[in-house]
Amino acid sequence: MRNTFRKMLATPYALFMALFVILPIVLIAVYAFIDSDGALTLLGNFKELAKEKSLDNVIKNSVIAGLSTSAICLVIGYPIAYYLTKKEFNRTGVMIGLFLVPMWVNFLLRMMSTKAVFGVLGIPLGMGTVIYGLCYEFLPFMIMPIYTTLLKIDKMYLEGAEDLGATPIKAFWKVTVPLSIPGVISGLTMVIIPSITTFAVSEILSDNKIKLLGDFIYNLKAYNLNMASAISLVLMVLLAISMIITNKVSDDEAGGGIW
Amino acid sequence: MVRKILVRCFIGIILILLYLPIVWMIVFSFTDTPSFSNWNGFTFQNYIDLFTGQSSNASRINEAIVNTLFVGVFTSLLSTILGTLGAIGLHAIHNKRVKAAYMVSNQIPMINSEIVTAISLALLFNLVASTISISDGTWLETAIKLILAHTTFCTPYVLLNVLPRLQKSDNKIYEAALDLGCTPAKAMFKVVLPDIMPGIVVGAILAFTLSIDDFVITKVNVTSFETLSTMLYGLKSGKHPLPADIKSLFSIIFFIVFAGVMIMYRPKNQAKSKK
Amino acid sequence: MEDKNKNNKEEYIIELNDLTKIYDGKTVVDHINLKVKRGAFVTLLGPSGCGKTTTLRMIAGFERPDGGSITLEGKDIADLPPYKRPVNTVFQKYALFPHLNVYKNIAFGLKLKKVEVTKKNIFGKEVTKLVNMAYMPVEQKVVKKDGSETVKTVPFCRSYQMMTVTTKKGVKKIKKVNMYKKFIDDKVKHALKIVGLSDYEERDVNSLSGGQQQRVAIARAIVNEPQILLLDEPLGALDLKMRQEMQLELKDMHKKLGITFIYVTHDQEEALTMSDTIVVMKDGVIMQEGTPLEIYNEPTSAYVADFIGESNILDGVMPEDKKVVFAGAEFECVDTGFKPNEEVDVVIRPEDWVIKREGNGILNGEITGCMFRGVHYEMTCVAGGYELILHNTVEYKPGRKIGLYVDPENIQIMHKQHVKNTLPVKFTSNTTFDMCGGSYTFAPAACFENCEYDEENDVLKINGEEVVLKGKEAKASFEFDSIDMTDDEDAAPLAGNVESMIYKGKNYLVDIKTDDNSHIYADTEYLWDKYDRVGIKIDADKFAFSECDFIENVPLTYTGEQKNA
Repeated sequence: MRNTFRKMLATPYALFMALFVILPIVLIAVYAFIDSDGALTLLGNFKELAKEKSLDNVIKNSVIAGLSTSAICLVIGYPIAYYLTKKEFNRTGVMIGLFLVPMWVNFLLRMMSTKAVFGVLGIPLGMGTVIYGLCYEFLPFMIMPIYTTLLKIDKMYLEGAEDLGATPIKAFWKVTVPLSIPGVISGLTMVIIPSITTFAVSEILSDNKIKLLGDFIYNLKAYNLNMASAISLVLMVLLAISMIITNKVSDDEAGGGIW
Repeated sequence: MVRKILVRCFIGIILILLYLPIVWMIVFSFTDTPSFSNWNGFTFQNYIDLFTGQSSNASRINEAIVNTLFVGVFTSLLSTILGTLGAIGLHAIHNKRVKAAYMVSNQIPMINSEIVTAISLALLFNLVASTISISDGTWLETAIKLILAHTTFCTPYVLLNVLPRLQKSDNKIYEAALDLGCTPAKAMFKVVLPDIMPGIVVGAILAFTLSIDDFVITKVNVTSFETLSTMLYGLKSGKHPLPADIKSLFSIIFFIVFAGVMIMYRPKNQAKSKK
Repeated sequence: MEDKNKNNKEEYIIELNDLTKIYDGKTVVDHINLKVKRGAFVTLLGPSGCGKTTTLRMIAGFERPDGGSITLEGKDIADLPPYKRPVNTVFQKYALFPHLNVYKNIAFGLKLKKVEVTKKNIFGKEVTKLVNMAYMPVEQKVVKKDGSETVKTVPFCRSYQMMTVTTKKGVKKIKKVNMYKKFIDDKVKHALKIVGLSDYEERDVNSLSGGQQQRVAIARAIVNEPQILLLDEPLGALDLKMRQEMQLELKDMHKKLGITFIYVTHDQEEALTMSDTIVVMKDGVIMQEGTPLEIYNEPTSAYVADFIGESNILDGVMPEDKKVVFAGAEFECVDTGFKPNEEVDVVIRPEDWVIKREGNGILNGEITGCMFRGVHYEMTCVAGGYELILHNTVEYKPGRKIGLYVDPENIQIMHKQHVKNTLPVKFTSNTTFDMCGGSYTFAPAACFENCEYDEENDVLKINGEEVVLKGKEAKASFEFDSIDMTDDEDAAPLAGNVESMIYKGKNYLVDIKTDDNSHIYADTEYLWDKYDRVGIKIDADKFAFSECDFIENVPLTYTGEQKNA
């Protein structure tokens, strides 16, 4: 009885979310299966998409860029997150703060500055520079969840391992790494999909030569909302599947989020 | 020892790479050139021009700042109210399924690709525009549209900042307030809100920064309404995409952001508990 | 000499010599000396913060000593990392790896086990190396296709034997069994059997109850056959029933395994139940070491008497050998060797009081309270102005007048550790000084002998000679009862935290630790709580100064008592 008042407080939030989150997603699902005249077409939009010649290249580029970005971010981000939890760097919050500041600087500005710096240094723009830019943008998103997960690991597990005869290196591989897997998974989900679907980064850092999925959808939106919906729907389904898989792998509580 | 040096070098190099473009831009904001190379002598002129409104992009910059701040402030306000109320309500709900439904819908804007969220909102706005037949609205209408779009992806973050505070605080204090004669509304304002205020403040700041930083959703949903992000995007194809006044403007913004983040992560008194 | 050493080595498995640990300038473990007999069950007992856990962690290797040595089997291991020490720990919160199941948790240490292997290197020279047991070379019978047998050397993890195995369905089969896996399997299963958790191998450790997790933690430690098993408050997280059961089981395991146990706890009952030897610690120092019976019956200090079991601790005086006066009566006792009229602490266990008819005892008193405690009645009694606790199986109602008697053997007499507070001070003027970081005012005329003080002109004369006290150093003494404790720390020159309290029948003796880690003892009639922050007020005329080398022609020490006399 007493709770009803508090439960009622969620109503505006629930209405807003229903209107601006759930309804738009339903609209995507609807638009994906009708043509621009509003007539029902089961696979018409998807067939149109398949006809797009540029899409093959876009998907190829996106997969290459997405996978290499997440691999590089993991290889660089894990050690950074690991050492930032060490006493040497963790005495104050300053070090982790330094790694987070770029996240709050407008990414277009960073990409445009990077492009200008590449220009001065004479580095040719192409896939390499696009991947560099994506890593630049998404590295903090890899570091943060791993950092919070590592920080939560109780020191007693390492002491336990050493007590049982593990050298510090063995203890790292047998205890720290397995216990930080939820953070790694959460980091990867925060890097892979966004880096594939980001828009404007590749445009700036490859002088419009390389297009990723994000750019493709944006351009599509201008002339065919139905096709844009269709491809968005595919992306959402892929995302949902990957979320279900990762939720099974990492149990919810151990997962480290950014916020 | 060697390892220690290697670790420091590694961290140092990554930090240098992260800050190189930003620092480069800041350095060249102190000289009179639109490029990133030709140093033309040290000057504060870019900053003076920026503040006196004499720079080449002055009117464009002013408009973008006004638009960005307007949308940012109202987004922050709206999403903080919605998110806080949502968190309090959600915290009181004990039905697991209802709770899970709330959490999933809260997660959607956070994990969905920005471009997909943008398209989905565009569909919604299209639908609304076609039913009540307004094509490209006035400045205020566009601003409201953008505030609603931004609130969509900011509210979940507010909720996630407030919810842990509620979970940490003792549920009993609300009940104690009722027991001592408060009406539910009074108990909420006198006891619960002050208790979760830190989470609300962080959530509001987060919503504000997310809004002013947003590019994708803004770009997809509005055309004749320039924010700082879309202004930058509009400049990208020029010969020198970052003219002098833009450099100095974003240098100032960088210093504000830097100070803000450093205050948030300022050295804490780490109480050492030892036996 | 050599013989004696050898003997020594046989008897003691581990020796701590002058072991010291300092954290942030604070001495947590203070020059501890301890010898532990092979196969013993030794308990380090003390309140939190007494240094017992730090001592254990130094033995385990998690903390590096700042001084002293740890000798295990004659070898100094103080600088060895934990993974090279033949000791294993059962952690307070178990530290079971959450990502591994029960079996893998227990096998963790076994799979890391190293053995010495003598091998010929490429130059044909024999070298001894430590290798993981999985790669230890073993001989393997190989049956060739033609039926002939040869012997090959293979790593342990690739050796096998044909064995009869019973499958899950109960069918017997001859199967090729990996010997390394079987070796680990047997050990894990044996360890699980010892802790009573057979068939729990595949369980997720997070799904186990506290008691079961505790057992897995023990199995994980003992499976490595450590020379010493260290247990850090292992039963602290369990509820009472489970704790009592585990106490018995641990004792049993200790007997079966025959290895040395070093056990850390703050629970005196646990220590008394399980140990062969109890080491009572306080402030990083060993207060007393002995068997449970010795510790209980013959505590050597009021602190130990108070910490172990219930007791009446009273102030007394020994007029001569075998006689002690306390609570206003003279008792016979068995203790000798005290100075005439020495002030002592007297300890009498509540169950040692013999209740007689009024007038028939040595002491008369009146029962003021009575509670049933299961096996006995716990009664409070006022006698000679002191409040005493008595245990008896017979109930005496409040208001009943009784006589009290104690068997001379049951009176435990101890030297007082502190008779008064004596602390170094530095004078800041003729009427003020700094002590432990607080500034006190004193009345010179009352505190120095032969002293005149002219207040108006600020002239101080001692023994007729003018003395300027500012900047001089000395020691100040003051009685326990001259201290006024207040909970408003700003109202007092100095504040500290209550470390411990002992009830002395009439009042509490409180040990206050100041912020510069000095101890000040105070008598008070109010009950304070541990860690309470209190202000320490002392009246201006209650001080006496000693070691005043700035005063000429006076004995270097003189005390308040002399002054009174």
